[in-house]
Amino acid sequence: MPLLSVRDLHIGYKTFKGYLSVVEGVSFDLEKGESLALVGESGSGKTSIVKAILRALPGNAVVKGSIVFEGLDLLQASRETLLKLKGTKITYIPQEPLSALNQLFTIEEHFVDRLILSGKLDVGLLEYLRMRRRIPPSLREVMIKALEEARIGEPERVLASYPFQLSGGMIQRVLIAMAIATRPSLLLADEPTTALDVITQRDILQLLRDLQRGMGMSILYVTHDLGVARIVADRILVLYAGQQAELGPAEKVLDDPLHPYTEGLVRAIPKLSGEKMRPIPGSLPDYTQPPRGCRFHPRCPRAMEKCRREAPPPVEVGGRIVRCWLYGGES
Amino acid sequence: MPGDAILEVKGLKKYFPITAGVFNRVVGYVKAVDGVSFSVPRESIYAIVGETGCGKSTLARVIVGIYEPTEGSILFEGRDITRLRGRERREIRRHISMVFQDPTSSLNPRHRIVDIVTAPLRVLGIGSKGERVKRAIEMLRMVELGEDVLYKYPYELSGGQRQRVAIARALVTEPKLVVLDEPTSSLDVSVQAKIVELLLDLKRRLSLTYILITHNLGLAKNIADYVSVMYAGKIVETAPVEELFTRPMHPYTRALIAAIPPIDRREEEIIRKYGIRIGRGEPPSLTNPPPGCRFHPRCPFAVDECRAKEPPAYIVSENHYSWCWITGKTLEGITAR
Repeated sequence: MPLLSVRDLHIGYKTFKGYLSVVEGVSFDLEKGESLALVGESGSGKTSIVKAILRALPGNAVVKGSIVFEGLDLLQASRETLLKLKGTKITYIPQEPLSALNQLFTIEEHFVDRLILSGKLDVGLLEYLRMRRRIPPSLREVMIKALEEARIGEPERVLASYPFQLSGGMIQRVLIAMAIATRPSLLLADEPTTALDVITQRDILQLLRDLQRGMGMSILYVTHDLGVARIVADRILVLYAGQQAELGPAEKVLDDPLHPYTEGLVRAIPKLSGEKMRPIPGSLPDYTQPPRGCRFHPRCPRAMEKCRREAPPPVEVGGRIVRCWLYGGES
Repeated sequence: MPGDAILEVKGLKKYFPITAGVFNRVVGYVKAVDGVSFSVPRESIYAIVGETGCGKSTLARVIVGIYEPTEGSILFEGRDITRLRGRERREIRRHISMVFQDPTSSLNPRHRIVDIVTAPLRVLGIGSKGERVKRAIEMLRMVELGEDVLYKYPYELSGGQRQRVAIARALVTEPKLVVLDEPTSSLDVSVQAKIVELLLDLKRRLSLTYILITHNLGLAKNIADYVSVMYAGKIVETAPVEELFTRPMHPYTRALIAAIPPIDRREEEIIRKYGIRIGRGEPPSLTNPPPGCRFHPRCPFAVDECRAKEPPAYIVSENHYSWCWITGKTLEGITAR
């Protein structure tokens, strides 16, 4: 049984402009110890999927389908059950490392709160102060161990520091340490390196990869950068306008893309090989009135009549799942 | 540099003072650009690459005149424009314009597109109102936008369209040199390539010269003719684009190449061939940079000289310089300048 199983996920938002259908029929499995990257441009629905897993979508969102984590459907689970999972078995690394921490509190204060409060509901101020007074000494060891695992050289000094005293790369390491301290089985990472320098980014990606392998943790990594996905993920799921384009082993998908959108995306990126960049014509659709059938058809160089009528079903091609009429499939 | 240079930058420095106390006493300087020299051949694309905080955006802003340089000079078509004032300055500045990174913040949300595009003409007092609007329509057509956007506001346009408006504004004064500060990095991948195509097309049609400021080596490789790599306020290596990517000399250039996440197999091979992975570390403080070569604390090859003295420019081949003691040793020391 996979660790996380997403089936026929639909996400939409009710807005004044009308109903926005942002994710349409996405299905994937994440195995234990595997790293999967959700790749797509802005507006492809990748962040909505992560928020749906965390049940953190805004009130105007409509979610259909199922998200099963270790046998439990997260979309049906009670608030209490979810709270026990979030922050312990399912953890999250945010995109902007600097805005994720309060500048007025030390790393230790953040970290302690993170550990003593996770899984607890409606903690009052008095109860919180009581908890803070009774911090077990073992907690410090947990924190130091996690910081060391995130390859922070001087964990003691970092614990005593305020966020503004640390560099962006160091803060991202701290956030990773916080996310792995509870030994999660699923780590959700939403573009955690976009705010970092290339050399630091490379370090952080390597760190995540090593942690995933060393701890047998599963990672769901959201990114718009195909190169980052190649480094960090075993498999890649390419999303276009909320529809699933292609799902398969990272290197195969990028070296030899099957879906015309994946192919277009790979070609559009400037590469060191000097291969000419070729844009994808057109632009992303309007979500209140997405194109019928395959949402990519208005921009697709190989679109057929069928593409305009019906969304393509998943087809297995050489160990990959492609949703494109070029590869057959029954209507 | 070959041919005639449209722009020459000599020993340019930009220090930002750090002040403290009630009297704003200056207690130190952030040396964002610290002695940069290069020359840009006419009708070429000159890329300046480096990581966040290396000073490349400050350099761009000094070139277009947003910041006053602390030291050094800028020659435009052979004429020193560093300290021009008043009418003379405006006259020259219309020939140098800039496209900023993020069109969402570089376009005033309360102004209509027509006002945004004609603003430079208004400031310079060129043409009547009617003529300016006509010129704006012409410019928008050039960047492949219809007349219908004229009276719209920036929020009504997509990211790609907004960047086209920013390009139209930059070209409205008929500049000869355009500084592009990360012109595509805030855009989606499929849109980026289109903006790049547009920029290349405009360059050809209007005989423009571009200075491209970017952190994206792939982009530099694709469109630039010359590349300078910046680190901690200084240029560490300059070369024609093909040279830089087939014969990178400076360890920092090679570390940058090694850090690129490869898209496909071909790119992976190139990165493996030319890149050198360096250990962890961060760029130095610009207030108090390390003595000698600024890269030495992170450089896997650093020797005593690197810690003691700033490296001179070593000539690797024609137009290819590397400011690195190690380069000097491997080349048996041919110093320039």
